[in-house]
Amino acid sequence: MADILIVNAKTGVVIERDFTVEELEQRKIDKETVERIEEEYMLKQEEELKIRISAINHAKSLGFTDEMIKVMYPGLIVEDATEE
Amino acid sequence: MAKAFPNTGAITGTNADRLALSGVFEGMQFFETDTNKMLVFDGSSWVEINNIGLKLITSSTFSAQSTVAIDNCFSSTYNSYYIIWYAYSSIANYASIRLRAGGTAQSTGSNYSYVSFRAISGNSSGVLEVSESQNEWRLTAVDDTQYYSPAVINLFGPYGPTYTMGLENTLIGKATTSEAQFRTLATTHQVANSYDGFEVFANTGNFTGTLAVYGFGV
Repeated sequence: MADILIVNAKTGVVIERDFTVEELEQRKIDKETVERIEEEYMLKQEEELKIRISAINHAKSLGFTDEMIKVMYPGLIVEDATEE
Repeated sequence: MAKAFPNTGAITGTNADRLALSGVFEGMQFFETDTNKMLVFDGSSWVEINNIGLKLITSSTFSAQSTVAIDNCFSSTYNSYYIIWYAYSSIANYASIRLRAGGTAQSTGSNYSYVSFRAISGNSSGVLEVSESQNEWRLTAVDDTQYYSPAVINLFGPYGPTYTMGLENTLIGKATTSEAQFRTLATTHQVANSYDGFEVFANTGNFTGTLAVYGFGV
């Protein structure tokens, strides 16, 4: 089975072929870029979660209840925090 | 006995004949025999009525294809496009989209951004995903192979000298028929280039199905 099906909407010509060497190289680069961006995104999410948990735990250490934290900081998901 | 109709159809002639017409009036209709265009005079200019509403530009059926590219489907004729993707996958994967110009996919520059929300019936919450500075739009996910994961893609301004924006709704086919899943996306491509096509591709495996591109005429 060929790599790509190309339909020319203007002429109606349909071409089914394998990728050229240049296209294969570009697609390899593109895939690596996607994977790198996804990895960076996941790391950022994990880092944000750590900060969120730390913030919630600090608020609790100051005597704030879950309900108070929810009202003051709607972005903070209290359930994320670990019990101390 | 066949009913007889009077010969009161539109005036016919070539494009040159129409341009040379005098005494045109509002409501006058003209069929161009060399272009197959049907036009009506709105009082100030000729309007091509073939292009009013949704018009099929092209469609394709494919089998076990990792990339399906449509070239020359975007033009100055339409600003907005409606694309229907109806396919199933050989493996659990994603279908992604890139814009094309002159037969080449635009993947450099990391100019694709999208925000999506995915929800599953029976779950009280969904998944919000934000992805900026990507080199593709991730259209739909495939959880179970051999089950269709259709999508409707609205693209705005791919050919014009503006950013290309999109609004996509996808359904995620499941082996468990009682479970419904959807994913909806808002997408932008932050380069004011002119694109004449697009491609849908699998990050792994391949797709079997159909793809149709329509233009929104106004």
